[in-house]
Amino acid sequence: MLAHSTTSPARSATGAVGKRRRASLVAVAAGSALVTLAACSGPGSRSGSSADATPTAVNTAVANTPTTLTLFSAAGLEAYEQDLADAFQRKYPKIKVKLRVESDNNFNTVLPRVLASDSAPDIVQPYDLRGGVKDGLLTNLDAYDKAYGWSDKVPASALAPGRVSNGVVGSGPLYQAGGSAGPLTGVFYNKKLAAKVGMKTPPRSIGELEAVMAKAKKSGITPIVASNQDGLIGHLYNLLLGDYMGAQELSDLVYRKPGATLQTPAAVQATKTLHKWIKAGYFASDVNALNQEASYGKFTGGKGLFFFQGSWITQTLDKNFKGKYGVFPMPPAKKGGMYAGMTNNTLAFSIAARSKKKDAAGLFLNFLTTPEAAKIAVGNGYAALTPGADSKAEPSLSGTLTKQIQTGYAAIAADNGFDSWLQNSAPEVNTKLTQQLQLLVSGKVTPTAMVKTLQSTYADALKSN
Amino acid sequence: MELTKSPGLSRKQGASGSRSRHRRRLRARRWAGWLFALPALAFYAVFNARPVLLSIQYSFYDWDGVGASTWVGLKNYSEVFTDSEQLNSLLHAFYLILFFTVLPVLLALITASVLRQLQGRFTGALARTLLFLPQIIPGAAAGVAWMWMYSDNGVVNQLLRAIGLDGLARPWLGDFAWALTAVGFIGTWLSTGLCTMLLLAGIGKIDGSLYEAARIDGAGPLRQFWAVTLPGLRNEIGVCVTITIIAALASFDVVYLATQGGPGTQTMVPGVAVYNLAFNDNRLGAASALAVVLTLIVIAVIAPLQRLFREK
Repeated sequence: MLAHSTTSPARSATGAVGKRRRASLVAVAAGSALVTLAACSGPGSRSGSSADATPTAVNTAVANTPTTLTLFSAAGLEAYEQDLADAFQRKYPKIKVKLRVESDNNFNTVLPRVLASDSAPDIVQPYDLRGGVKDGLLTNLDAYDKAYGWSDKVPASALAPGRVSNGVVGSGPLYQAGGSAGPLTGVFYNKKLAAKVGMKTPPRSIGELEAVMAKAKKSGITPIVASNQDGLIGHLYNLLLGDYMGAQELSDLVYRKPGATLQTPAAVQATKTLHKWIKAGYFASDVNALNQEASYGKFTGGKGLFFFQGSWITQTLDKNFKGKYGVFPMPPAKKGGMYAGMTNNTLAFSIAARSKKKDAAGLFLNFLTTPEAAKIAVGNGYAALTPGADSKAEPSLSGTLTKQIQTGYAAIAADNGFDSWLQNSAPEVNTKLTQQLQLLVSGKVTPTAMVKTLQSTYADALKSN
Repeated sequence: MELTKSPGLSRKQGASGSRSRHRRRLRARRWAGWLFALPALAFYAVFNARPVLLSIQYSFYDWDGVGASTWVGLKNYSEVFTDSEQLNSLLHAFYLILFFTVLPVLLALITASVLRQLQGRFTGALARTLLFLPQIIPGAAAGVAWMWMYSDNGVVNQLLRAIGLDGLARPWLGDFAWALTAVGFIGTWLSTGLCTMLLLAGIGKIDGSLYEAARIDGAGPLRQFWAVTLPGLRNEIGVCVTITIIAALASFDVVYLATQGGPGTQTMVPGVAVYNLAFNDNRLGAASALAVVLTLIVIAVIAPLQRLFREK
């Protein structure tokens, strides 16, 4: 950025000629600066993509036209998305689906730029749906919905998170569509340690969960494994928020429903609960210095009883640990209350506005609504609501991990308890939440002050876009 | 940038030949020089000057990096100086100078003076290699390695416990009070080797007879250091100070890998703050404004130092 050359004798002996030359250089630089500033009115003015972002005529008979679709994927989802692509190709051999993979760390960062580029991929799972719609990067899928009849096949609750209207998620035109499947975010537990503290059934309330943790602490077992260098205590925090605020209220906040606020007694109570657990020593003392990778190692190494995470970890955790851990959904705040937990529809994708193969991409989205696609999601650690599934099953500590994920997911679905991560409400909230959680662990912020800061960050973010 | 010139020749011509002809020839020669520099200049313009100018332009806008932008005047700049997080990140950068510059230069002066005695021998070569090793390891890799060493069961804490200082052992990078200092020491480790090598090369250039004369005058090692080594290294120390201060003020890789600015914002430095604003918060304008301010601060700090260390 800076041309820092070392002091050389030739440089220090600057004569009059050198000075004049430098002056003319400055003039040239200043001149070109003015030209640059004047040439364009402001950055991003060109962004309105030339491609058609709202197609009206849809061709569903594309299965026999050879073409290649590009699916932009994050490395952590590569295996799953490759399975989907393979299954699609088996069904429609003329259409190839090629994966373009970006590392997990970079995916969110590069996604908007990739979508705005001339070599945009065709299919993508957008990280920031609202932003993508605002910048005209995603295709309005209403015409495809009508042509394929998705609204009749797929539960409305699964399509709602894919709708955006005036910067509010949940209703309006459809931008992300497919089937219905997602991760269960809940309480993973070490089976051996659970037996040691005598946990025989999943706790049915926050109070019961607390009792188990207190018992573990007393017998020298760290109750909670977590990483907070990256702010991932946030999974637990969001589960508590959903429990105390209710799934609907948390969702309203994330989806920016007018009037939604975090400044509520319920949110403060959720924050106080987390604070209480921190003070009780339920986390390891180095939690602020750990990242996710290290926390995986701690959990599989038997360094703690509970791990508040999502079922995506089943794809990453050490395979040797398989069978030694299970999962149950986050218990309700009070016994007999409503289940709540974050999820996102991993079986719904968007079509880039700049894609030139929108009709073929539409066929791929339609494939996602089939039972075959749902089966692939389940095989990759996600849960899907398949018709005829035993939705009345109570979460239990027996059965396979896949079974536990399905019953946990079904229990939340039965209570209409799916919500989303608070940090998805705005990028600024994401940055701020990590910092605030670290401060809470360090004892440098009170729960009340933390809620206040997060709410003001949220309000500022809403104002600026 | 400076083109080589021969002051002796032009002075003679200016005295004898006609002034206008001389000027014309000088001008022609000047343009010929530019022609040779053109390819490099083109690269410089596209990959250095243009991004800098664009950053300056962006800093006056509210822009998410993709969509439409709005002109906000100096709002982004006033935010740099009113937002406590951004302001603190600048203060942290100055605190890091202590670890990236002051400590390494002092350590390097001592090491280089000692190594001078060992020059040419096997131990000298070994010591030089070991000292320079951190320099060939990328900062990012160093950040990860130090993360392990600073962790609860890492080498640092193991050493502390081994010598009975259990009370001091802590997860350093997650510790609210110590994180920035811990990050600073990674910088010390990175810079000391570079400074030692530079100073060692500088000592090699000092005329041996100066030391001999000092010895004959009865100067001990310490007096030799003050009277001969230190003045002789003026230039090299200047280079060390310049490079490491820039590394401190514009630090990114080490901090990003080791702490990402946490816990809270205890280790937030401008480099990481710019990254967060631009790529996490999608606020290109605010990020550019902070980057511009950082650049100006670096220039404001470095420029007077250049004058100070210039050879008289």
